[in-house]
Amino acid sequence: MRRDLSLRVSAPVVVLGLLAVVTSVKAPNLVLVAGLPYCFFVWSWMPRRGGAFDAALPIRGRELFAARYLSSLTLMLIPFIVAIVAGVISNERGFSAGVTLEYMAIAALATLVPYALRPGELNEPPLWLTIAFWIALAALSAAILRFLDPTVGFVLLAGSTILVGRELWLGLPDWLRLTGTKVSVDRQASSPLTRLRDVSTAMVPESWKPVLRSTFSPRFLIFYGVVFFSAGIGSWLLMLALATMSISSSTRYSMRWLSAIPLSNRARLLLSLVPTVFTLSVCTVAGRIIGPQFGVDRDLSFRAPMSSIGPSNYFNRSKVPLEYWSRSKGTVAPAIVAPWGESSAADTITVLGMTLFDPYTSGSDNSSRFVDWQVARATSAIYGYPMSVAQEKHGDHPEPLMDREPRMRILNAAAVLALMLLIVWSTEFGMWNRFGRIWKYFGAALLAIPVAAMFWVDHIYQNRRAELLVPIAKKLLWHASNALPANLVVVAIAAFLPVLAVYSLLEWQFAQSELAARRPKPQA
Amino acid sequence: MITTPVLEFRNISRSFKKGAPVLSNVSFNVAQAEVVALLGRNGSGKTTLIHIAMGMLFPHEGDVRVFGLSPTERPVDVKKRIGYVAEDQVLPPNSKIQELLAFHRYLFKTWDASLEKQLLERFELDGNTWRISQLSKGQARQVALICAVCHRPDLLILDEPAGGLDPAARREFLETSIQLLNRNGTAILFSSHHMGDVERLGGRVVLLDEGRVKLDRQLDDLREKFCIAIIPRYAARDVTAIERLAGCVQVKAVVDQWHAVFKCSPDEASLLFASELGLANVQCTNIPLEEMFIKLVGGKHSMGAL
Repeated sequence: MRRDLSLRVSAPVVVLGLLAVVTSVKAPNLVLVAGLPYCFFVWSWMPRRGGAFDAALPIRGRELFAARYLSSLTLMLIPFIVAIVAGVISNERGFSAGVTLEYMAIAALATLVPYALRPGELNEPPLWLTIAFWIALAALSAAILRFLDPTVGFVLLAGSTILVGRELWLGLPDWLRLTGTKVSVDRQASSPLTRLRDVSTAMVPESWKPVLRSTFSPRFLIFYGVVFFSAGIGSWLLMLALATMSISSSTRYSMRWLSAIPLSNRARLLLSLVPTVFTLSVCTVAGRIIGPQFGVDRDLSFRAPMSSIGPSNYFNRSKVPLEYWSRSKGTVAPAIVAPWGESSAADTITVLGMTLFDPYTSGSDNSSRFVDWQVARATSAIYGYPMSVAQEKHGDHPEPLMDREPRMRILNAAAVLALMLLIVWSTEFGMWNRFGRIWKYFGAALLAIPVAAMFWVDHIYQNRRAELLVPIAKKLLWHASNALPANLVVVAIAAFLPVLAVYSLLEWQFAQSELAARRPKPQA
Repeated sequence: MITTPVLEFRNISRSFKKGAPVLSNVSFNVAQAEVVALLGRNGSGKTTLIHIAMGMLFPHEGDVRVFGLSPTERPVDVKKRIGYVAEDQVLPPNSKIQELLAFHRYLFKTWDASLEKQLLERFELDGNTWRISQLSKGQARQVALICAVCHRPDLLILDEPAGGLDPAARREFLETSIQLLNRNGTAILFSSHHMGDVERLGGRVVLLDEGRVKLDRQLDDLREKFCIAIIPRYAARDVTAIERLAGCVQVKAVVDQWHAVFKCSPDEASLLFASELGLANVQCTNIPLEEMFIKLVGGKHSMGAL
């Protein structure tokens, strides 16, 4: 088992796991959302059953199953375990270890399902069959999570996992067999995914169908769904970055046959950007538009840093996201004084040696009048008009000015577009013809560092659970928006010039990339 | 008048790991209508060289020119005139054969529909509605070959073209499709392990060994200029006497015989044995290409550069 192939792919999966883990630590309750793409990574990267190579080796079916299932499961459970540890340590209100244990059991069962389908075969079961079982499992799990006590739910789900595992173990033959080619062909031809592909490409001219089928994979639907959902709830940047990275790498690989075709580098690059930058942007925009229609609302404190522990501002009832904080001239923030003389010490955070303070802080010892005053000031700054505490708490929240203003929309769109192109560039960077294999990992690290930084920095800064890079970027864009002329055309030109620069860099990098196979090992 | 070579490798060097070059200073040309077989052991750099010609890999040193153009700087102009079948051909697995051919018809203005039809019929693929992923390895290779030849390229690059084809299909393809193109002036560079294919196609042989060109000769030249002499060991007890003979390249003991390779015709070698060593009736024959290949690159007892 120690020598099993599945362990060889563990390292990159663990790196991705760390990203998911960080997100889980930040908000243990979001473990399912954060863990979902990670679980998909584990599922898609881990060698699950085997092929002719494994069939030829004297390894029993049970050993193969145990090695691959247990290694997949171990990686799959990383974010959940860390979420439980983080939740217990942070003692976060609303965090339930029981519910997270239920999620763990669901993950264990979901990992087991593909093995339980056609267990005697070495070949993978058809994807559509696995997805169908997962959908059924998701529906069942949702019902258990909704209606049953966490302990009962966990026992039920864990018991089911053990039961399915036991039946599978007992039912596994000594030697797994390969599926005959003819059978596979028939199965594949009749699979719903194949039919879905046919329907989706029905309107495309025949000559371009091969390109379309290489650029889009049904597997991407999961990423599109996650990005749409994340955009809908207003916290989407990490998902967008991960989806861009995954789809971009996958598309580049599936389109490699085009490198022998007389298509210009630009044409191939643009084709590869369709499923990533274009489609993901559409998903994000759609999520941002549709999310609020379904009552997804964001209050004043959405994504605000946690209040620093202290008697005066622990119960900050008017806290705001970091982009609305101000910079203090010294290390001590000025006291906030209301016109009638009531004051409060401002909540502070130190970032790269700078002291930032929340000018809208209200402490537990402040009067309701003071809190009303602060909420009115904060909502004026954020939404453009004052709101009372009651309105803010129960009313609909418009989009913040930083997102709503046409100039900011243009700047935000350009920034996100530039970020996505940079991510695609970083995957290309690892394929630069001047680089050896080690640089491939450097390219991946180049991408991982800023993405991880977005979510790690808050831990470095006193575990205040606030993203740092996004607010800084937003604030800079806000300043840029104010500095630019009023004419929207000028703003658009200024905003998209950097995008064009990043695209040019990407196009140059694309032309310098090598995708051909590495040198084969000489045979003895 | 000096004509530009169709394909020109100038001092190409390439490595994937520091200090372990895959190609070192490789130089040779392929002229119009020339058929060049690229031979070499696994890992000798054949595929890397072909990838460099296709612009898929960049040489670390040296320069490659296809129709006088750089394949990395002018990929479209170059690839329009090339047909390419890779060793591990990757075709879009979810596409149907007809869709893939339609895409190629769209891209190549010179697409020969009658040749496509002819080859589809020959490979019994006409009317096939399967996807690439559902085809056998050999069938997928046949589809790749059709895509590579039907636009009647000026240069056909085939990396192990016969891999996955049964002997009948291989012979049919090589003897009809490739030669059909070659008659029209198409240059062909192909790598292969099948010496039978190399001998059947004729032309020139470029042998790569450890990233260097070890041999670059016309096949006919190889056939005529090299021979093997088989001498019973009791007749020539002193091997150094054989080694001292003019044109002797290598002598190897095989059971109770000496196998000596000579750089001359069989008649010339027989005469040498008779005149210098007094050995009449020494069996001298042309050396089969496969034998030559093994002698040249087959392990530590191989011959030196020729």
